[in-house]
Amino acid sequence: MSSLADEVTTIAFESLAVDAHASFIVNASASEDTLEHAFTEHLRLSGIYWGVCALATMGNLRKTMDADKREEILSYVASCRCESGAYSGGAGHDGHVLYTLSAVQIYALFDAMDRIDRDSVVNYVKGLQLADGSFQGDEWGEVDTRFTYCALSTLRLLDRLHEVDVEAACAYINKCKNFDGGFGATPGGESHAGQVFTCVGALAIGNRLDYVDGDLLGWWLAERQVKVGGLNGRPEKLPDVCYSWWVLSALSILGKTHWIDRGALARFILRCQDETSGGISDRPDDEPDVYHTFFGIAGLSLMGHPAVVEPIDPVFALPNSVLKQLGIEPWSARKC
Amino acid sequence: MPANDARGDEFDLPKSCDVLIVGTALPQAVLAAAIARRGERVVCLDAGTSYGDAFGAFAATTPARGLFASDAIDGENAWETFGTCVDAKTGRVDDTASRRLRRSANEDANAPARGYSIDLNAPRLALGADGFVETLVRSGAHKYLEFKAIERTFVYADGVARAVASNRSDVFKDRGLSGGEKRALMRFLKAVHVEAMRDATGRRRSGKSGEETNVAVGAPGSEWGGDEFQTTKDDDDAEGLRVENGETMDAFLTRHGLSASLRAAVTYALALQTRADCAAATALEDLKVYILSVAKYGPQTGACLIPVYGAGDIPQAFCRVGAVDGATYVLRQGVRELDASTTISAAISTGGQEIRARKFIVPAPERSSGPLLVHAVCILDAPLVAEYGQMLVVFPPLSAADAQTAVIRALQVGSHTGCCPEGKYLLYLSTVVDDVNVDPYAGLNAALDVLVRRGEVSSTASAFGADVEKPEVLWGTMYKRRCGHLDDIECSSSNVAYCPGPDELATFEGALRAAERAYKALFGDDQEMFPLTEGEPKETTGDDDMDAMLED
Amino acid sequence: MKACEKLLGLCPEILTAWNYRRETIEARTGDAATTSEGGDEGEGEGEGDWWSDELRVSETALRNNPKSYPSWYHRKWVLRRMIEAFGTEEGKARETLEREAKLCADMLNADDRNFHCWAYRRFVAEKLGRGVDEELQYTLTKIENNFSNYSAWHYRSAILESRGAADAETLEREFELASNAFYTEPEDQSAWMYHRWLTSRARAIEDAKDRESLLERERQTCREVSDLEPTCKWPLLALASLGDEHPREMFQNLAALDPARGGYYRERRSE
Repeated sequence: MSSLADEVTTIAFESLAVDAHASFIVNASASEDTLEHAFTEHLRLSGIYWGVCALATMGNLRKTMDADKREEILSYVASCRCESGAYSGGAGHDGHVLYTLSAVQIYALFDAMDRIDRDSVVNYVKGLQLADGSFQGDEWGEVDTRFTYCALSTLRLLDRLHEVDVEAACAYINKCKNFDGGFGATPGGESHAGQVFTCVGALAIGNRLDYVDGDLLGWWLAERQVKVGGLNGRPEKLPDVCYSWWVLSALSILGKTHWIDRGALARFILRCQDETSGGISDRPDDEPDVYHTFFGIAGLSLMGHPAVVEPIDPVFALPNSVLKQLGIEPWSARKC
Repeated sequence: MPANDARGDEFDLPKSCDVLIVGTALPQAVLAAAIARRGERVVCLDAGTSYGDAFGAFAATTPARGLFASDAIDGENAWETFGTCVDAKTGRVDDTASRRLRRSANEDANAPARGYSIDLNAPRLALGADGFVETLVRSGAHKYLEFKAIERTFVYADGVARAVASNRSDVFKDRGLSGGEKRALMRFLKAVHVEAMRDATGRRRSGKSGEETNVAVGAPGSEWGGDEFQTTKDDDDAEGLRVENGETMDAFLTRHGLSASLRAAVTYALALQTRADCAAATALEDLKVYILSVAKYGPQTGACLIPVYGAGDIPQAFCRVGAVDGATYVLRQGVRELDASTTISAAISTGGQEIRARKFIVPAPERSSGPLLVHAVCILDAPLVAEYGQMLVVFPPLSAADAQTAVIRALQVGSHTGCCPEGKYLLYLSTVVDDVNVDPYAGLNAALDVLVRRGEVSSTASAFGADVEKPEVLWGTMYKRRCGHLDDIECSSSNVAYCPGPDELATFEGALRAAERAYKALFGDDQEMFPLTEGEPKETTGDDDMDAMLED
Repeated sequence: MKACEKLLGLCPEILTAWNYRRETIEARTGDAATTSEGGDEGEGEGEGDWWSDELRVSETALRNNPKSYPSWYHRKWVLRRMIEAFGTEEGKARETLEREAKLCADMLNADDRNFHCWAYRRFVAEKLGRGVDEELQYTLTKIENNFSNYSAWHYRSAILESRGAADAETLEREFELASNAFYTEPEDQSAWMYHRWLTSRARAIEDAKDRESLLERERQTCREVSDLEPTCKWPLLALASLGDEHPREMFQNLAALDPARGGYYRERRSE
C-alpha cells in the first residue's frame, strides 16, 4: 500500500482563506442578539467546540482568543455543568452526553483539563451505559451509537476508559452493522456517513476495529464521492461539506483516504468558502456557518492542506498536539 | 357569471366596441380575454345557449335531460351541428335514430341526467408544462378551473392494451419490457429530458434543485452538479437527438434503438402524435413538453391533465376572465350580417341590432371537404380497468381497423371528475378520417369493440387482461365534423380574423395557436397575449397556483 | 406546557423543552400512564389522554423539521409509555400505533429517505407485529416508486437478514429486482450496493450447483448491462465480485473508467 504522506504531496491545494475564516468564527460567536442565536443556545457548547477547534487547527487560537476571551469561554462552559456531572448545550439547559464531550473537548483545546471534576463526569457517563452495552444520551433513554462514541471519547480524553464495559459497547456497535459494511444509530438503522464515523471512531477507541469490514465499508465510503468532488452522507444524496469530515475521518482511521480523489474533494471544499467574509458553506454559494467551516477545515486537514498547521486526529477530532499533551497517541502515529 | 342572456330583441347591445367577437369557442374565448386585458372594449356574441360552441359541453339544461328521454333532440341542441349521428350502442347509422340519444334497457329510467357533463370535443388533454397551461395561469383562467391527472395511459396492439412507461419508476416496474428495452427507453427519455431542460432554461425551469428536477427521468443525487457542472456526457446524449432532415418519428426512434412497441408507445402515448408518418422534428418537440410535464405537479402525477367538470368549462373560464376585464358576453345572439369592407364596420346581430366595431373575430367556415374529426361518447356501467378513474388508451394507426389511418384516442373519466354520477364512467373516443370512401365510424367501432360490450354484439376478451370484465355501454352516440386546421384561414383583411374549429391534435395547443395567430394578425406580430406585467416574477408564482388547482 | 409547546413549534431541537414535558407528565401521571391525576390546568380535554397532546406537539415539530432527533424520540417515548399502560393487542395503544403507521407512510411519501422516519416506522411495525412479508411488500412499493431509495433497499436487506440465511430462490428474486434498476438506470448506485450484498449471500449458498447457476446468471446479466453501457463502471465492479475470470484486467478498466476511486481499484487489482 502506498503511504498516505506520499499521495498527499501530489494534491495541488488552492489557498484556504485562514484569516477570513478566523474572523468569521470570532464574529459568529459575538452576535448575541439574533433570533438565530437564541435558537442555537441549546447547542452552544458544540458551536464553541467547532469554532475553537477550527481556530486551533489553523494555528491561530492564541492570536484570536486572548486570555480574557479564554476565561470567558471557560466560565461559560463551567456554567453549563449540571448536578449530574453532565454538561448541557447551553446554560440553563439539561445535560446530555453530546455536550459533555463538547465541554471536555473545549477544556482540552484550552489546555484546562484540570478544571474538570473528572469523577462526576465519569460517573455520569458510566451511568448512561445500558445492559446491552449501548449508551443512552441522557436519563430519558434515547439510544444511539453516536452516544457510544461520545461516551468512549469523553472517557478516553479523561483517561478513564476502563470505567465502562468497553467490550460490550463495541459489541453493541457491531450489532448496528449493515449489509453495506456501514453502521446505523441502532440495530437495523440505515448506514449514514456521520454514524459511520462515530462507530468506527468508537471502535478505534475501544481497539475493536476488527469488527469493521474495511474493504466493504471503505468502498461504500469511497462511493460517497460524487461527480463534483464533494462527498455525500448516503447513496443518491447531495454532497455536503460536513461529510468531508465524517467520510474522510472514517477512511482515515481505516487507512484508505487514497480510495477517493482527494484533490477533487479539496477543490469542492475550497469552492464552498467565502474568501472575503470568511466561513464555509454546505455547498457552493450557500450561506456559510461555523459547523461547515469547522468540518471543511477538518477535512482539509486530513488531506494535509498546508494552511491547517495543527493536523487533526481522525478519531478524537482534536489537533494531534492537544492529544499529545493528554498523553494520547495520535492516530497518524499509531498506524503504518 | 356576468353575461347577458339576450332573448329576441329585448336586449340592448352596445352600439359600438373595439372588437366584436362571434362565438365563444376556445380560440374566441381566449382572444376575448386577451383583448379585454389590453383594455379594449370587447363584445362577444354567441348564438348558442351556453359557452364554448364545439369546444363546449353538451348543454346542461333541456338537451341534457333529453339524454335519457327517448324523444328526439330539439333543434337547439348543439349536437345537431355535427350532422349525422350514429348509435354507438349498435354502430348502425339509422337516420330516424340518429337524432335519438338512446337509453339502455337496463338503465334506471329515473336516473338524473343532470349528473352528466359531456364534452363535445373530447378527448382533449392539457399537459402540465405546455403552452396552454401557461396561458391558463398567465390569464388567470386557472382560478376558475380544477384539474385531475390522467392516472395511466395504455397503448393497444394485437388484442392487448399495455400500460405505457413514461418515467423511471414505470420503466423499473414494467415486467413486459426486456432489459434492453428498459435501457433504450430510459436512455432516450433522459436524453430528451436533458435537452428539454436546456431548452427551457432560458424561459422557465420546471423544478427547483437538481434533486427535485429529476424525479421523473433520473439523474439521482450523485449526479448533482448545479448548472456550472454540466457534464459532457449529458451533452453527448443530447447531441445524439439531432433529427435528420425530413426524418419521420419512427425512423428517428428506430435510430435510437427503440423496439416497435416502444416506438408506438413513445410516438402516440407520450409525444401524442396523430399519424404514422409524423415528422420527428415536431414529435420531438411535443415529446419534450410531455417529459417536462411528468411529475411537474407531484412525484406520482403523470403529464396529462383534464379539467374537472369537463373541458367544456375551459372556454367559460376564459369568458369569466374577460368579463372581469370588462368584456360583454351575450348568449342566444349571433351575427346575421357582417360588413367588414370599411375601417369602422358594422355587424347586424340575429336580434337585428347594429354594432359598430373596428375589428372582428369570426369562426372560420367549416370546410366542405377534407379530413373528418370523428367522435364517440358512451356512458359505461363500470370502468375499463378497476384501478383507474381517469385513463387514456391510444390505438396506433392500423391497430384497431384496417382503414384506420390515424391514431384513435380513448379517454375514460369517472365520477371524480364531476362529469358523471358515482359508479358510471364516460368514455370518449376520437380519430381523424381522411378517406371519403370508408365508413368514417369504422375505426371507432372497432376500438369500441375492443374496449366495451355493446348489447347484441358478441364480445371478445378484455384487452386489459383475461380476468377483466368489459364494461357495458348504457348509452352512446357518434358524430363527426370537418377537422379544423390553422392553414384553413386566409386573413383577407387586416380587421377580420378567423378562428378554426377543433383540430386533430390531442391537446388544446391548436386552439391556443389559432388564438395567438389571430391576435398577432389584428394587433401586430410583436404583440403577445397576456403579457407578464413588469416586475412580476417570471417563474413559479403561477406554478404554485396551478398546484393548488390540481386536485388530489 | 402551552409556552413550551409554542417554543417547540418554533424550534423543535430544544431537548430541554422536551424533557420538561416528560417531567411534567411523569409528575402528573405517576407510574400508571392510564390515570390522570390533577394538575389539569385547562389543557388536555380528555382526562388521561395526555398522549394526544404530546403526539400533536411532536407532530407539529416534525412537520416543521422532519429530521429533528428529539421530536422523533419524544414520540417513541410516548408510545412506549402507552404500550406499558395498555399493551399492544387492542385499544388505545393499538389505535395509536395504527395511526402512527399512517403518519410514517405520509412522511415517507414526502421524503422517502428520512432515516429518522424509517427507524421510527420500524419500531411501530415491530410493536404492531407486522410480518416479514408485509414489510417486504412495503419496501417493494417504495423501491418501485423510486429505486434510488437506498433506505428502502437497506431495510429490505435488514428484513431478509432477520429471516436468516437467504435461500437460492429468494436470492434469485432479489437479483431480478435489482437488475430492473440496472437496466433502467445503470448509473444509480443503490441497487448495485444491494447487488454486492446479494452476491456475498449467493456465494454462501451451500449447494454448489445452485450457487454456480445463480452466479453465472448474474454474470450474464452484468455482461449484458456492460454491453449496453460500456462506460458504466458498476457492472464491471459487480462482475469482479461475482468472480469474473479476469479480475486484474477488470480493475485496470475500472481505474480508467472511474479515476476518482483509482486507489481502490489498484489495491483490489494487486490482491
